[in-house]
Amino acid sequence: MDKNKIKKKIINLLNKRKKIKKDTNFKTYYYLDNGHIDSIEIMNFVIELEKLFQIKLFNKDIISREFRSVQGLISIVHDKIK
Amino acid sequence: MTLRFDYDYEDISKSLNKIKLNKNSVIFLTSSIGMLGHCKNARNIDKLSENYFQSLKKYSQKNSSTIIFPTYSYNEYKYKNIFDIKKTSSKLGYFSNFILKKKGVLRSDDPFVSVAGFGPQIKKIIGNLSNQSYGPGCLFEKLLEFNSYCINLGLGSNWIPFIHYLDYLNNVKFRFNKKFKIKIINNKLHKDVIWKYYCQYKRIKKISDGYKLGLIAEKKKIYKSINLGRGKIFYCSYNKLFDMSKKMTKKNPKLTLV
Repeated sequence: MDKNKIKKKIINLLNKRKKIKKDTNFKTYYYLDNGHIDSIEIMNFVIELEKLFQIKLFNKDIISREFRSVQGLISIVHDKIK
Repeated sequence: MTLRFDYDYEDISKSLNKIKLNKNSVIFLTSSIGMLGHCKNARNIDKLSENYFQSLKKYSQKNSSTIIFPTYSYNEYKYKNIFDIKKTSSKLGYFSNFILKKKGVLRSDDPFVSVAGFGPQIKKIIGNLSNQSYGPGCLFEKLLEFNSYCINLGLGSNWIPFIHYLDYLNNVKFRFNKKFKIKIINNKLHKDVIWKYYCQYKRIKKISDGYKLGLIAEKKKIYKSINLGRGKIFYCSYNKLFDMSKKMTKKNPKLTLV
């Protein structure tokens, strides 16, 4: 799956929770730091990501800086499914 | 759909009890409890939060320790520069606001980076702080006088409480002290204060975080971790982490900038 497809799917998951503004720069959008998903909802988000992409996310993935931004999350998922 | 549970209520205490602290310690506790997975017997968010609160209370009683939680509200002009200790909510998520509602929990009067907590030394810690979030007499300086620890529940070693206090000590070029006129309300007591907050220049598009420092602290075994659910609890001595971080950022003040 290419990065654009992954991006679309991730944005859909995030939009289900709260609409992301159209002019958002995903390279610098830290969805966790911006409160897009709170610290309790995060567990459901992780499970949805695992199901959607058929991957396993480990603690080191979830606590990484990359996981906090959309761009970083796309890279994590891409590395796991390629 | 059958939900798989990653841990149960008892596991929280079992893991916490593996962290051996000296009596009368002060714990700066940060959390992202969702990162730890699904907890059995936690039907909803309130029950999950209650499980953690009760486990932490028991842990505090056992060690005679005081636990403080960040309840930062990052006061902005949209709030008309009013900070109400009882009513201003925390911007750090559900659990921090859950804590604020609990009986016996006291909150500091910092309009930007308040903390709330309980335990034998809570009044000593949050009382008589200076009117600046990161400067002489601030909480992050005061914690150095106690036997303090950092515990990160579900979060990584990157969550470093004093990171902007270090920026202040290093007089970094990307931050400046700004004065705010703020009304602080505590029940019927109203006081107008000039509060100093160490803001980041808007033109600096980078963010600051503690990932680099956290990783160094893990390598130096200052940060240790234990498992809980599908995640980890990171813990360390506040003073050791501070000393190491001060040394590292003195050499490179931009170490906290990404």
